[in-house]
Amino acid sequence: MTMLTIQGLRAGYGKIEVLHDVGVTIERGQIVTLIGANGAGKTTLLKTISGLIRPTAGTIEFDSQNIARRPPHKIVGLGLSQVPEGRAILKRMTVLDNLRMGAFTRRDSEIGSDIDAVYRRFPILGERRDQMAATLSGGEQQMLAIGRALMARPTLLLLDEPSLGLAPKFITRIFLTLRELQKEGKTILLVEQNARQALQVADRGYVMERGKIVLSGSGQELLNMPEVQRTYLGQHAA
Amino acid sequence: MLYQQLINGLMLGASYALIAIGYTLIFGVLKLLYFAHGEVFMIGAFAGLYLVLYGGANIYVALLGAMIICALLGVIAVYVSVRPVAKDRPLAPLISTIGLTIILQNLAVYLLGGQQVAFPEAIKQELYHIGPITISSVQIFILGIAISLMVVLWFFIEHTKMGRAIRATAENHETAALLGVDVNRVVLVTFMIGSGIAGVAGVLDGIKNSGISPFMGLSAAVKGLIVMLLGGLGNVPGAMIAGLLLGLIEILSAAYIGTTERDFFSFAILILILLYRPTGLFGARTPEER
Repeated sequence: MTMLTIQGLRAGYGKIEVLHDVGVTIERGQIVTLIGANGAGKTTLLKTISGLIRPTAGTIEFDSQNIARRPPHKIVGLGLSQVPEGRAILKRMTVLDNLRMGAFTRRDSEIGSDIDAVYRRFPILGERRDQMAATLSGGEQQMLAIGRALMARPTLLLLDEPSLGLAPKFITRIFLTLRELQKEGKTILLVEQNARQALQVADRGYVMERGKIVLSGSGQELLNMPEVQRTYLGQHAA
Repeated sequence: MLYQQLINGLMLGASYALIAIGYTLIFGVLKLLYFAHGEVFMIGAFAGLYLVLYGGANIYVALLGAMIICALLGVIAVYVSVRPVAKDRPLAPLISTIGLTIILQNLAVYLLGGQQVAFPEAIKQELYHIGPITISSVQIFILGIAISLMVVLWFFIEHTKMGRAIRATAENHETAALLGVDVNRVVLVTFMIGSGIAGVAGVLDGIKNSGISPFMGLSAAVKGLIVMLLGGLGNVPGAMIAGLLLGLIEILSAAYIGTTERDFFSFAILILILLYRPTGLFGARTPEER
């Protein structure tokens, strides 16, 4: 079953087009990763999917409805949550208020038990529930950003460089969490600079260069491709 | 004598705080210095006056009416001076709200006349003696309304879903939108709340000074700005405390130094803050802080 189908997508900032005819397909239950150099258009693609940028052409079909050109606050409610670049936690709000904000679109009575579930997944957040989010370390902030995105009960989770600037033990923790979430039935689109680890967890990968998808394949296929090894795994390739 | 002056200071400060709350709320969500806010305060005073004079309303109805009228004025302000102008040019909404200020003030002079108008005695004047303090029913009423309004607003901002959405929007529009907040709606609600509170402040000012004029907006706007800076840009509790503080400073300096120097002290404080503590006494809530 297809969860997200992007076809012929063009988008950018003002008159500058960043994405040129982008197509991506994500099957339900998969972890799909998008790798590429800085400035390739990865973040722009995520922002266009989540509605922060209006595409000039193309379609984004999520759960078989076209969400291109819908405002971001309407898209969250459909089950598509984003963990933005740089975590974007609300630093002047408490950990608990950040999680409550994650459930902003919900009106049900299970918000409290979902908050407890986030605390079970990331116990440190429970210990710091009443602290201002600004006092958390980078890794803890990333956990909060993921926990907050989960509060919307998404079926598709978009993550923009969750490992950026984190200590190795936190990076491992984040990738473990992604695997857990997949087992729980979430579909994940992961944008990463950390290409090796991203391709290792991914069912499918896309490589983006200058606003276009230039390569795609299973995570393992991409790991074995010489052009991927040269450009994206270069410094690690033995 | 000192106790008496403290009460006078709190009275003055409470109205400064109410005006500054609107400024700082709006600054928080839009990073916009909303110039027309003083005129909203003036229109609130006249709305209250006419409701009492011609509508035969009691003072509570007049307060509520002024609040609603000013909240609607806030909605109009958003549609005529904020939404139509370019978001990526920070000066554009500043200038369009200056335009709105001029229109509102001229409209008020044209419709209401340029004279000071007496505010009817809306509350029966009675004096109470508590120890060394003499406090009038009018003073109790004004302080009571102002402080309860601040408590309610604080609770709303800190503990309701909409209050959280306002705080989230003030931190980052994109993040708020990604979490499902309709940012345009939050901006509208913020203008309604800030303007409604300014309307109440206008009526309270009319009761206190027993006279209002179409030109009262400017000095209120300036004092509100000083308080916003003192409390920290975008910091609502900061504006509340700073408002009371400025009122106390002005009244005490007038009482013990001289009435002509009163404004001198307010502006001296403004300059000192800008020089030595640009984030205000209690910390700004602006993106630069992060």
